[in-house]
Amino acid sequence: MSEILTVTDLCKSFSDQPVVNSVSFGVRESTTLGIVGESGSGKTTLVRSILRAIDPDSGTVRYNSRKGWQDLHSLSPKELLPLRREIQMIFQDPFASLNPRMTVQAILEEPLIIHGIGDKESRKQRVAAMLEKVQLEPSSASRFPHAFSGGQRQRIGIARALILEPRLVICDESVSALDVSVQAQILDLLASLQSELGLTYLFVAHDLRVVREFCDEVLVMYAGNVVEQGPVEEVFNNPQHDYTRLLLSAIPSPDPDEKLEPLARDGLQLEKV
Amino acid sequence: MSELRELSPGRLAWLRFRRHRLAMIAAGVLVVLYLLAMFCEFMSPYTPQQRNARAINAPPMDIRFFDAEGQFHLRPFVYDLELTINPDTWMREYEENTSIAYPIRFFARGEPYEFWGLFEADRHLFSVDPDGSGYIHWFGTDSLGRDMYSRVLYGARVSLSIGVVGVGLTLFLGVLLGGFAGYLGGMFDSAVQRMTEVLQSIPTLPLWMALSAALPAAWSPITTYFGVTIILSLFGWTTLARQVRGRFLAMREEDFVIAARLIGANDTRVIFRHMLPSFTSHIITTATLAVPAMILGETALSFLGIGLRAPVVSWGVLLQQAQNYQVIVMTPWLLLPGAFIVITVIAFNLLGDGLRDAADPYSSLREQ
Amino acid sequence: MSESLLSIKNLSVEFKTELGKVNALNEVSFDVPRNSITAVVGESGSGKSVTSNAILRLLPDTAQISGEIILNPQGEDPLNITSLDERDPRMQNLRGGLVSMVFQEPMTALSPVHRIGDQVAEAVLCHRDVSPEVAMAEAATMLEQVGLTEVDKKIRMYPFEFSGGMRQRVVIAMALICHPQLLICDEPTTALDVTIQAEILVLIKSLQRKLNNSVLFITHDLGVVAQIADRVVVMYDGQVMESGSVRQVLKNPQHPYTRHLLASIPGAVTDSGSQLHAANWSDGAPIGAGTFLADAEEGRQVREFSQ
Ligand SMILES: Nc1ncnc2c1ncn2[C@@H]1O[C@H](COP(=O)(O)OP(=O)(O)OP(=O)(O)O)[C@@H](O)[C@H]1O
Ligand SMILES: Nc1ncnc2c1ncn2[C@@H]1O[C@H](COP(=O)(O)OP(=O)(O)OP(=O)(O)O)[C@@H](O)[C@H]1O
Ligand SMILES: [Mg+2]
Ligand SMILES: [Mg+2]
Repeated sequence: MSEILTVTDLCKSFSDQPVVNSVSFGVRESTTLGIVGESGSGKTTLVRSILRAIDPDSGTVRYNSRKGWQDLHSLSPKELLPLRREIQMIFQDPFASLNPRMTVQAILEEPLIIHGIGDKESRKQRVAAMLEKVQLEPSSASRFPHAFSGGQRQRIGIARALILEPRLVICDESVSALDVSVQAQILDLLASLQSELGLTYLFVAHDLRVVREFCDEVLVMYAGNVVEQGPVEEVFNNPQHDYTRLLLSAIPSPDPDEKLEPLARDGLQLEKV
Repeated sequence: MSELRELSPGRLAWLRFRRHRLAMIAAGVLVVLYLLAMFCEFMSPYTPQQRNARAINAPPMDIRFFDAEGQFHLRPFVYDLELTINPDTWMREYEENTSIAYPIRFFARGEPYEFWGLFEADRHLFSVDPDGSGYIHWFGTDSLGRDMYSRVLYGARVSLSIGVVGVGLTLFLGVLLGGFAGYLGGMFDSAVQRMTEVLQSIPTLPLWMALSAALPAAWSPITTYFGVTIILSLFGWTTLARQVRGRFLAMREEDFVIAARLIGANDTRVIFRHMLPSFTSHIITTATLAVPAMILGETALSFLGIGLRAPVVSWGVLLQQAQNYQVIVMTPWLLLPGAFIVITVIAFNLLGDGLRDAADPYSSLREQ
Repeated sequence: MSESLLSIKNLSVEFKTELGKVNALNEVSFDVPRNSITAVVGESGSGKSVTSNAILRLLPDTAQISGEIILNPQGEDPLNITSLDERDPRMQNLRGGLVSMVFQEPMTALSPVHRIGDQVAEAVLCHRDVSPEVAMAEAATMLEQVGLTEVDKKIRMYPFEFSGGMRQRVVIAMALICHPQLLICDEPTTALDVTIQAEILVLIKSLQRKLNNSVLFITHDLGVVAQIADRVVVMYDGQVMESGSVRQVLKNPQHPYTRHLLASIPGAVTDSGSQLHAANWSDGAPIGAGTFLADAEEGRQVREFSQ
């Protein structure tokens, strides 16, 4: 399958502190790339600079749009607008990512209005169809976000991201804030939408169990660097880097017979690069 | 409980506000005060300049239902005041003359006035004897025999409106400058920041005095009024600008604002659809809390004789009469405008508290 | 002494809010045996924190509490916590003495303006009449026990100089320094990275073995339960769904909700062999089953389901 996104040598520093250090990777279409790493390792900075929500210091982000390859960071805001339809994001916090003063209808309609899609009537139909797709009642449209549970809010976030029919969806810890049972439902939903619409996911997570379950490939970040990358099974069954080993040893298994024996940090070669 | 799900954020805020008993009372008090001020021509029995030579420095008159014989009258009345000179102190003293009663009449004709400068009228909410021989001064009169109640109401119009107009101007300046500072950042931000720092470090009173002194004495009362308002706002906007800037900066990083940017919303849309609605409630709260400062500012200036000047009537101007010790001892009712100021300031502060709690209906719900 | 250290009997808690009454706990009963770790597991809003706060009487005045919480401390008379008066001297002994607590957020539990050593020593001074030097020495020993190295240097440092994991170790040291018989940990690792979480879990478990106290460990992660606890209480919507030994409950869950939770763990292989496709009895959960509008409907579903 062809690649949809390639990132080369992406660097970003905050006040001379490198946060993303020369990161390169590629994502193939209709697959899921997981990004794991400890808190502060630069995952959010990395994905947000892909979306140009943060301006990186150097490096290129090339995206294979419906009209061919484009360098996202050399586009003017005007040229970028049509690409916004193709790349969307689902946020971590289902409370913070929805405008509390807009109804679900307004939230979901807004992307369509901005991109000048359809008239009032057809937009309404699209919103209704989208709500159905994320398994929310049609009557949800007239309600405000506060009337929904965390899992339902995350569905609204997903609906907003998908209503523009994007090809690449970036999920920054999109299920981390949810209870396991709700998390399972949302992952289910994301997986079925992927197979239905051929979506590509960039999936940031800190729960390796989720990544193992949900992703095809994985990228392990440590202190702004990619320390390991490859197909999930390969990386998880045969970790090459000490940090990956540490991460894997720290997963608490739900089987009381599989004892948790995390590797000692001191014995590992983890000094910052 | 289930109907809560259908509520809009505005309704939720109202639900929370309503629980705030003191704020509700304060809101009621303010509504009454503002109604009195708005319709002061009608609400007061006299005009502020009308003199009553028969009652100079008269104390507040009691409104009665029972006469000297203990008989009940459905229509309230006041007794005539009789002037006596105390032979020891040579002071004027008033005593009730129970032989003459003036029944209070509602919606009676009285002194003609021009309502809001729109039309002539002569109806008053209450007064006594339309023929003009009686009088009612339930807040007393001043040294020229002018009715204090009428003057307090006319003063309320000026003082209360200066609060609102001043805060309006402050808001305009604060939101505009603070908003641009937060949004544009860089040079403009630094410039606004330094300007607020300088303005906040100048002691306000001397500066007010200097600026007020610069107001030409020849200006008409209405121009002076606007001059004073502008002076007050010029120094009031800094706090608000800082808050707006701070919220702007914080909100720029909020997930739902970033989300809006990522679906392709342009700056205008992000600001007006997403950011402003989210902090209007905070702005309203801040503005409410800023009104008393304005009112007090006007009072202070006028009290010092450098703000509004007679014949304009404002609470500050009225209090100017009560500047000396003698007044406080002999005619304490001249301090009544002060009581109104206290009530107004407290009411605004309580209202602001309630609004602050109601401003973000989500924060406290989420805490639970 | 055979009875449990703590036994909760028919504990119900109701909150009065402007939105009406919220029934947070409904006839909750379970025991915390001596010398063991008991985990309380359940999803957000199931009443885990309300339970632990009730044990320390930390609930706000809006809470109406009924039922019994009986603490049987070693060498002291049993104590019915729910009927204790706020001004009772035993209250002071209860909080921080017999029972102490570790909260979720390691940042807020420490004062940013005091040195680490002083903060831990302060906890000693609050409950025992010892000299500051002795308190400081005890603090240093305790900090060593929770796995900090170079303690001499660290007791003079401030919390902001510590990483999240180190801070949580300090908080645990503070909680343990008065040798409480019961340590309550309310999601002590949720804010931490997995690798640090693993370290803290191992630490709590080894300290419990060493100090022979009891731990009430609150979490929403069954993986954590399996690794740390001896016994587990599964809660849902303010009710206890199932309780028993960890092995028994996790290997052979009796209640459908427990099975559902187990199936929801990513990567979990359930009986049917299906992954991810968790039993979706709670799909189509009623709108408004949010954290603050949580209503009884879902709970009813479980109850019906469990019959
Ligand atoms: N706007 C900013 N200004 C300064 N420093 C920042 C900014 N954003 C992020 N950082 C720093 O960059 C580092 C990486 O942050 P980032 O949010 O990318 O980490 P992360 O991997 O997403 O972590 P988490 O798992 O906690 O979300 C952190 O040390 C953070 O403090
Ligand atoms: N002070 C309060 N006032 C009103 N309701 C409350 C209060 N505290 C808790 N509740 C309600 O009690 C229920 C249980 O809350 P609790 O905090 O115990 O949940 P939890 O299991 O600890 O969840 P989490 O995993 O999110 O911490 C919730 O529905 C909550 O809304
Ligand atoms: Mg992040
Ligand atoms: Mg809790």
